[in-house]
Amino acid sequence: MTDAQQTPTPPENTESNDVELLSERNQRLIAFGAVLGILMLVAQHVLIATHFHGWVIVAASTVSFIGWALFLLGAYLNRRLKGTPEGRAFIEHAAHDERIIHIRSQSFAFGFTAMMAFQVLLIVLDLVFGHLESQLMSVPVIAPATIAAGITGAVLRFQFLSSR
Amino acid sequence: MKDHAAHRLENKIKVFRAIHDLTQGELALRVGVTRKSVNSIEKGHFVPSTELALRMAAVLECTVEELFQLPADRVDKS
Repeated sequence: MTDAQQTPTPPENTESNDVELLSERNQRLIAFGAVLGILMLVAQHVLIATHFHGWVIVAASTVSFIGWALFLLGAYLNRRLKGTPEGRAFIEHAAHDERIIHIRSQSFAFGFTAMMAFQVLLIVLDLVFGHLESQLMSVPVIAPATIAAGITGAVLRFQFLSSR
Repeated sequence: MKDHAAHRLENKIKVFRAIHDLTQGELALRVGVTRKSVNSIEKGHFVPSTELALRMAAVLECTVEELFQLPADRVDKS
């Protein structure tokens, strides 16, 4: 019997290495920054369309900027990580990983489905409230809202699938 | 809602890793995927491609059938 066979329990290695953890943190910053940025952008448009003024719009704009700042920080940190030999090796390795490719395609599909579902919801809302809330059904509101639905759907799906 | 359980495979990756004294990271490096993918396959969350299953079997010196099995309730006995 070899030494390996005498091992009482299988190696339970669920520990992540530093590069993997850094890459995941950057990915989360990019993903949630983009979601926060675009959702607050939609909030801005909705507030303007419903004639809100003052601090509410300033607050939405500030949170939106924070979201985009997180997005840019994540992108910058990812670029820096790719600058190190270990980081470059990990990111290039991950780019060809079939599970990640599978998750990405599923997330894209989910994002487009979310956009489509949102459009259907808008049609239903327009049929019900169209004449009452026509300012909410304007292109400056529904265009970013539809994009936000797609991005949010894709990002949340990706985070859910990649965390398993 | 998609039934994810219907796509699951049982596996003995953990057992064969123990026999060969390999960590998830080491196995991942040798088969060309990330550690998290090996973890995900081991937990049954992700079904690998035929090519990856063959690569894993080659590294762990066993057959694909020894490494992966259909759950008993999904084996067609007809």
